[in-house]
Amino acid sequence: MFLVQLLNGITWSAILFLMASGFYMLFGLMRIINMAHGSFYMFAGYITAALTLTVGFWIGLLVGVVSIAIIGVLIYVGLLKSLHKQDLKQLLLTFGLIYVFLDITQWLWHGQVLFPFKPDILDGSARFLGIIYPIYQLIIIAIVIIIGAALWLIQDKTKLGAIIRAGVDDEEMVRGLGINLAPIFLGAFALGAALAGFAGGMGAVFTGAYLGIDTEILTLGLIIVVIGGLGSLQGAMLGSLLIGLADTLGKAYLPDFASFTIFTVMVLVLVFRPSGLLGKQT
Amino acid sequence: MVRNFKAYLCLLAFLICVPVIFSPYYTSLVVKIMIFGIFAMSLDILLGYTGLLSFGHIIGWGIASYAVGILTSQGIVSNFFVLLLIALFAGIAFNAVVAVLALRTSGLYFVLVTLALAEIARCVAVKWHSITGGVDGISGITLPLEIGETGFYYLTFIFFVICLCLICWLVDSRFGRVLMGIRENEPRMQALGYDTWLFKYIAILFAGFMASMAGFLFCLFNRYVGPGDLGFGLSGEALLMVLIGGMGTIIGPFIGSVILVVLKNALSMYTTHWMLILGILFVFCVKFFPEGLVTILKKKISR
Repeated sequence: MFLVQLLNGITWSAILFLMASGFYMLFGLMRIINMAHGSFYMFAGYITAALTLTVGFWIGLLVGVVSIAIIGVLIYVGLLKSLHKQDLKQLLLTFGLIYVFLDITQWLWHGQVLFPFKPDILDGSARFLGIIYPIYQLIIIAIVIIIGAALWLIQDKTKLGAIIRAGVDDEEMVRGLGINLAPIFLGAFALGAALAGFAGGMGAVFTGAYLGIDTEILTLGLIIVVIGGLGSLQGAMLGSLLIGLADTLGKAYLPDFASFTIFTVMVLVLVFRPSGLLGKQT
Repeated sequence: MVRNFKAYLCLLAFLICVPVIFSPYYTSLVVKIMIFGIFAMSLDILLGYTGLLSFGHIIGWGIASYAVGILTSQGIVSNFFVLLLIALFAGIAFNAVVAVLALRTSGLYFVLVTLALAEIARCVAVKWHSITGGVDGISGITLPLEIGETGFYYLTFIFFVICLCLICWLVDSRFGRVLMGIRENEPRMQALGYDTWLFKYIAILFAGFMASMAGFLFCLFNRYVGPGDLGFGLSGEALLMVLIGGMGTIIGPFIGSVILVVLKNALSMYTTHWMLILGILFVFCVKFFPEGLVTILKKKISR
């Protein structure tokens, strides 16, 4: 059923967009490439999954998101802040963190594959247009559309957004104008991490939380930002949609060539638009 | 000529004597050190000399390893030299294709694209299990040459010396100087009339050639190849070796290999948390010792 697969693809795009937007938050403002972003997904997924059995899905999700936000802030303050604007070092440092997270996750959950259970309210199906589709997935799509719209609005229409955009273009000038960017950076990192955590908690319901999802989803996220353009929110949206659909439809209709669909998309973009579909190389 | 020439001779002399002095266990450890030393040196060509951080570097290693694995397990090739040639050729060929794509980008995009390409290669290795053995890989690979453990040691040693000489040549050569120029200021090199794309491309092929050598040896040493040979784990370890030892130095990557292999070996007797330590070491080095040991020592000595 094509419509079902299409919706699956859009759901996956939604989860990927959460990752990509978190990435964009960190890079667009602070030029931080967070290689541990996939690790955030994995860790939050595990926490949510582990807690759904005891305290239920919603609390599990909340704890997952908040934990990752806190961990993110600690990483930022403790390790990354002093390497401000040293892109390569930040990249390498967060790369090292991948190993740390992987080990700790294995330590805590012994390599099990865990799936959080859907909360009862969302555990049903909707009938429309001749198909039956899980409500959970539809809710994810709805939530992510709202988040995406909110991010877009904040960026383009609010004073905070203006400060952020100015901070990206010319940080010294913004500071010179007396605007304190430190809490904004901190907030942005926390938000970026939280988005990844949210993606992990909600996404783990169908991807599962397992050792290896960190690099898998990191790779997808990186491909998205490369084809969408690192400095663009809209690029992240477009990229997520493309990759999410390519991945899902590829797996559904060409299962032997699953990785190649994504590869093909990436190759096509690199060949024709090397700086990304909507990107501006900052 | 290379400075510290005598020091290198001493090192090589020492390495020649290892199988005689040490037990087979430690000898095989030194084999591992040399193999990873070659891999780290090849990564340094890109990172230390050309200024390109390429996570796709492992493709040369992995493809060469898989070539050996597939060809020997299916019994297609039994001649050592043919096997070597095919492995090297395969590694270089893949690098040739990947590099064309990756070099469409630069800077941070380059790093990310090479990462994605390596991961895609790994996914293909996992999915195509009829040929690659999937997640389990190919095991039971044997060397089509009757030389025994000591023979293999000297085989590795010969490869190591060749690579060390190549790096020494690179440092003094015009080609190497251009690469270093690209690292420092690519637009200026272009202004001087150099086709920087071509130089970067050749650098990637050169590094891929050496990485393929290392992968070829490791596959025979380990008698196994698997998707891990195309993944993050090894890329990160090699990267750390270059970082700890010192980017852009001749012997730095080898020193890094010594430290990391010995550390991993010693620690794995006491704990299973090697990854945690690797990660912490990584973070620590990036934050406090980004120049690497050899560079720091060089500075202290030249005072």
